[in-house]
Amino acid sequence: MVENKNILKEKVFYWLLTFVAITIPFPSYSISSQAIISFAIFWIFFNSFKEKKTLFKKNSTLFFIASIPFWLTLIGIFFTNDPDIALKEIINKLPFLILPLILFTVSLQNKTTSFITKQFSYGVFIASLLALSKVVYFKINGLGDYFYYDKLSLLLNKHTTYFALFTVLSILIVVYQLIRKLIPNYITVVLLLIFIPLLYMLSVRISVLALFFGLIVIAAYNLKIKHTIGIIALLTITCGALYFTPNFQKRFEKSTIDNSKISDIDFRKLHWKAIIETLENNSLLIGNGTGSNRDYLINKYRNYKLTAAYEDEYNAHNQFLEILLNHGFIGFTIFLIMLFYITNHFIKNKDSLAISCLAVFFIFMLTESILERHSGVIVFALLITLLLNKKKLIEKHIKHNNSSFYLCDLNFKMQKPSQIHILNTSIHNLSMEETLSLVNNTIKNKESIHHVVVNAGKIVQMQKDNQLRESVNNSDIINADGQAVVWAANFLNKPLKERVAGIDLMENLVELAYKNNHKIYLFGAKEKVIKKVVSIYTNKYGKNLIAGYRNGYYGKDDEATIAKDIASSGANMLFVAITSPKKENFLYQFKNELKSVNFIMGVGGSFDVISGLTKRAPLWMQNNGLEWFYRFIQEPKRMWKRYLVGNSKFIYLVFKEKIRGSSL
Amino acid sequence: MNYFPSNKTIVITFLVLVTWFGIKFVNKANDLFFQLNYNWNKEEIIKDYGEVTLDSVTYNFVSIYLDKNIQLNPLTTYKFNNNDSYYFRYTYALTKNNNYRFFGVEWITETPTSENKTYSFSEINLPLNQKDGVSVITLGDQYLITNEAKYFRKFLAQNNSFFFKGTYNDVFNYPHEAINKNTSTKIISQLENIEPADTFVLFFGAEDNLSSAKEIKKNIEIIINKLRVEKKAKKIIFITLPPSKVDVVNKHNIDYNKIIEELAEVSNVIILDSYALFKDDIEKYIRKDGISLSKDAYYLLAKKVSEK
Repeated sequence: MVENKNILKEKVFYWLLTFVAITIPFPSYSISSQAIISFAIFWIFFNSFKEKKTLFKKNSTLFFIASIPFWLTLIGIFFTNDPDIALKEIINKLPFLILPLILFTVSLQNKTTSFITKQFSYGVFIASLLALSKVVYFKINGLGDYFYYDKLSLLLNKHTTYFALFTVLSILIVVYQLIRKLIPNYITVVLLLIFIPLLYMLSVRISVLALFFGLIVIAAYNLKIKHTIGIIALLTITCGALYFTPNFQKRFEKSTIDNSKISDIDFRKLHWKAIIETLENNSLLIGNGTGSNRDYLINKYRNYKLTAAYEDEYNAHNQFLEILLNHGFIGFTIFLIMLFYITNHFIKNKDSLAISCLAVFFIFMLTESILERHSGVIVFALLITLLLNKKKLIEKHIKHNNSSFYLCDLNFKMQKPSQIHILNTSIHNLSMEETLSLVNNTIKNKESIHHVVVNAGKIVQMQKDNQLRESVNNSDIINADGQAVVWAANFLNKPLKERVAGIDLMENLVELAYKNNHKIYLFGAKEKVIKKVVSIYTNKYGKNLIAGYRNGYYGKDDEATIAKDIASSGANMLFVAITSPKKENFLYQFKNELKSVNFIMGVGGSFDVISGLTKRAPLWMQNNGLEWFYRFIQEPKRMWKRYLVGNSKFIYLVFKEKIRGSSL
Repeated sequence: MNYFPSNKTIVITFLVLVTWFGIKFVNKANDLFFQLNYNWNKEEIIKDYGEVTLDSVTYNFVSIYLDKNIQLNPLTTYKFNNNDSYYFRYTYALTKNNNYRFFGVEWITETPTSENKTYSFSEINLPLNQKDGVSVITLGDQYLITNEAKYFRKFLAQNNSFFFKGTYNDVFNYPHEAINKNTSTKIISQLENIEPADTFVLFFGAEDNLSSAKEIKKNIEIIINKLRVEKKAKKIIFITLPPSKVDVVNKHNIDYNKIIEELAEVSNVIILDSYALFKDDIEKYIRKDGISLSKDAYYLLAKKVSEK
């Protein structure tokens, strides 16, 4: 009963968060405000005050960084000359306080950022479809052409610049998720088929520039250099050509000033000149204060005959100038520190989506005061907070013939992983990121786990070697290392999420250890090889990472001493590169002695690969279960028997189990 | 366990959102897109003028060249057609040789984008759909028809079930009884041809500057009496003259308003004091000419009339 209640609570929480994200692009400001209010009320009762307090302490820096626009507005109230407007401004900026407060005081589920950003792009898609259906209705009934710029915005019921911002962000999210295989290809195609023409119809010039840079960031992080250069060339040609299309050319039409016309660039220059002159008139240090009247600025607009500017009381149309107007150089410096911190954080985490989104916001800020309007406030507060929340993200890309990625949000909540049982072997149904989360939490909780991977060869060995079978099946985490094991599991109707290759897991764990100041012990391989591995890791991560190392050549009598040395080294992780079944048996036999080590893992021939002694198969071979063949080509004399006999036996065993299963 | 909303929940959420916004749009569309207020099924051609060349076009102006002489009528609607159709109504027009220039234009659907292009040109009847409800006549002078006054009835219709009546039609096709340079004396004669209505909104006096206070007072008494007795007015709302940046006009307006206020006390007329309403923000409510009212002013006036 209690469990059901908790499940319901969690589900409502995530639904409300999703609702906040998907209502942003819809044609009503009140609904997204109501969504945030509901979300905030629910959050009060969602988790305990103690948990909120603990997480707040932990995330306090990020919270304050993400909420800086709110604090600036709040401080600005002390310098205002219009308290009523200032109060309205404070209410307008509340999402900068509420969303970081909620999202940094709740232990978010794994993949929250990925899920919510995806839902946001779906929201933009549905809101676009809703508007386009109205546009088509008007067109076919002869009620007018609403396909372009400001007329389209009437049916979107959103300012063109802000909807263009949503569309650019959605395109980046979709492209990023496509590369990472987090979204099916056909959905991507459908979404882009709406987003790209819509962006053209909106014809917001800055959006093309923002999309250009956003895509380059994603390409640079995720693709090979030659592909990135190709993408840059393609984008330059496409975006350049876009500016010569009729819709964009119309945007370069002259702007009206009192009784005459000037180019839109001259108009913008005069506009900003008026702002700068107003800045000189304001207090340079603290600005004009939140919500203060801008009579001086409006008069400047009048002096320069900027009709639209004084009639519609234009804001600065540049976020940086807007901050300077309201909060002076002190506020401006704080704002820059915020942007710098966020940028640095994203770059450090190698989070290409976060960097590209931030780049998009930055570019839009050059021509629009995007943090002054409701739409801009919510989308910035939500996305930046979610992306900052991926703070322990490990993002790794391995460049082979293709690219592959492992993503891990270590705020993942520990669950007991499910297991499948095939061919007398228990295998945990865990993805790479889930395995990483599990290890991270184990170390965090000062527990101890023994990890092992199985491939076809080992499973065949386990059929006859009872000690090996016992040691493997008694391990705390058992991952499927070989693609053949994943296929066999599928064939036997016990599907596994994915292959978790031992070497990839090890590399991710070493990086995780470095980021969390944990220590590792490397045990196995020849002295020359282990020294090379130690040297590589020391160069990459520094001396503090390695608690100790030793080669894998020893007598039976040395085993106890080795176990004792490892235990006393202070290592949190132990990687053992010795052949099976010697390795499994050693780890199983000294499991108790090695309890002080939080994580123990057998890594087979990984040290040889890391040291460069042997090469790993290209990614396409790995993905197609041909890694064994690559190794066979490299060492045919040593490997032929293992693979020819071993693989044949494995296939035989799988079919045998299938037939037995069918007959039962 | 995964706590994210299932695909089914997401789809239902979107369906509810789309339905909600769809209904909201249908309910509000007539206010946001004025072309939806016309009865397009009853569109009929009154006169086809053949081909015209579009000389110049802006959001509130159009100039055309036509080979023949035609009699323009500001009470009807005009249409250009060349694959796409463009409809407009205008406030006044100037003609010179075969060049026809229309001013104070309201494009009903959209503005044609191509100049120097040939279109077929026709005068059409495009009736306006009005709500069933209280019949209203707006009676007065230029304050009810020129410049931004065109928005007054439009704003009133947005939030009320008003059915406007009158001999003339404004640029949106709302009927009214306002005439440029109308005086209280002229209105008395005008009343002979005005239909009865539930509510009369009166806005005049600017042109009564040559009449004495006594004469004005007498005229207004007659108008109010006729409206009550002959035109069966249930409610009479009298809008006082607004402030002006021109001193002479402003003085007249203050004096005139005193007369109205005195009369209101004895004749049970509802006074809407536009002078008091606008005097604190003249820049916002009075246009550059210092006399006529801005769009914001008419919006506020319509709001206040609705409240009365």
